[in-house]
Amino acid sequence: MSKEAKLLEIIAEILECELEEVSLETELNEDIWDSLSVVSFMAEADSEFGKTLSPTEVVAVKSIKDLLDLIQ
Amino acid sequence: MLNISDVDIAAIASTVPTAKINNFSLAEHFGEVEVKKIIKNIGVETRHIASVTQTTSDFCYESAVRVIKDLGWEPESIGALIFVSQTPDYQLPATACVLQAKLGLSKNTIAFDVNLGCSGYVYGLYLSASLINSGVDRVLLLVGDTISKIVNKDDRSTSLLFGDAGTATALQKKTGKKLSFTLGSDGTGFEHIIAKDKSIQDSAERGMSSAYLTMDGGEVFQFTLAAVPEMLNSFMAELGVASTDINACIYHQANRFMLKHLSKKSGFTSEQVPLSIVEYGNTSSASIPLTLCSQNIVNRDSIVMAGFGVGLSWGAVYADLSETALLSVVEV
Repeated sequence: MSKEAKLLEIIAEILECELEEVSLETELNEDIWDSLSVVSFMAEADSEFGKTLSPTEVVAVKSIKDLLDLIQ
Repeated sequence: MLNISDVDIAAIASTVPTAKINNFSLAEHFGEVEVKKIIKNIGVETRHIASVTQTTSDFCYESAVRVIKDLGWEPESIGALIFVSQTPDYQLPATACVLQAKLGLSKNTIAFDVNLGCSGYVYGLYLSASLINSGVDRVLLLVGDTISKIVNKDDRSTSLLFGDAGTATALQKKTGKKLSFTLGSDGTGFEHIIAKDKSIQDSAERGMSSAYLTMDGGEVFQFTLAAVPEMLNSFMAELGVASTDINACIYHQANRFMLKHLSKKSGFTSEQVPLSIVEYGNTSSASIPLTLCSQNIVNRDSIVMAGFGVGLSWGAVYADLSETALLSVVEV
C-alpha cells in the first residue's frame, strides 16, 4: 500500500468517516482536527511511518496533503 | 540502573471515594458526540470523586490502617512515613506529619512529603528502599491524589480524565529480595502539566485547592512517546529480561490510547498490561498501586512498574511481588 493510501486510511479512521469521504485536498479545520485527532495522528505517524512529529506542526496543518508532507 | 537489595514490598492497599461519576452522564455538559469520542480515546468510563469534606490523606489513612492490620505491624515498629502527592491536605505542614499522628506512629518516625505525580509511586518506592538500605526496618509509603479538586469543570482535556484515590504500601527489610530502578527528569517541559492559574472557586470544606490544573496533551504525548519506550526497553535490556519474560507491566494510567501505543512499542501484549483507567480514571500518583490492587494479577514474580508525566519526570521499577499482599480496593 502506498504512503498516501495508508495515510487516507488512517485519517478516515481518526475522523470516523468512510474512506471515500477523504482525499489529499480534504481541509482540516479546528472543528474536526481537534486535540484528540492530533495525538491520534502523532501515534499513527510514529507506529506506521516511524516519524516523531511535534504537536505544533500537526496542529498547524490545513489539509491532508500537509500531513503527507510531514510524514515524507 | 539502581539496585537496592534486601528490601521487600510486603503489602499494598488502595482506597477510593464512594462517590462515582459516570462519564457518559456528562453528555449534557459537553455534547454526546464529543463525550463518546473522548471516552473512546482516553478509556475512562467511571471515576471516583472525593467529596468537599474528604482530602487525599483520608484515603491514604484508610489504606494505611488496612496494611498495618494485615501485616500485624506494631505502629512503633514503623520507622518512616513518606507521603507522595500533588494535592496534599495543606500547603503546610507536611501531610506526612498529620498522618504520623493520626496513625499513632512513634515520635521517632521520619515523616516527610514528596511533590510528584505520575512518576511519584516509583520515586516513593526508591526513597523507601533507600531508607531501608540506610537502616530503617519498616517504611509506610502513602501515595495518593485528589486531582478532582484542582480540575476546571469546563476543561474537557482534564475534566473527564481524573479520578481520586489514596494508597498505602508497606516496605520492610528482607534478605534476598531486591528492587531495581531507573529514574529521570526533564524540567524543560515543566509547563506542559501545571497548576498555576488561581482557582476561581474553592469549594473544599477541608484541605485546599489552590490552582487549576492545565495540561497540553500534545506536548505530553510527544514527551511520553519519546521517553517511555526508550526508558523501558533499555531498562529491560540492562536487567537481561525480554518483554515476554514480564508477567505484567503496570503503567501509570495516563490514558488508554497512550498505554496501548506504549505497550506496542515495548513488545507487551494487552494481557500483560492491566488497566484500571476504565473504572477509576487517571488517578495520578495512585494509579500504579490502584491497578495492582484492582486488576487480579495472578503471576507476579516478574513485574515492571512505570510512571511518567508531570515534572516532567519518569521512573520504572522491577520487582518480585509474588509474596506481596494486594488488598482489595475499599470505598469510603
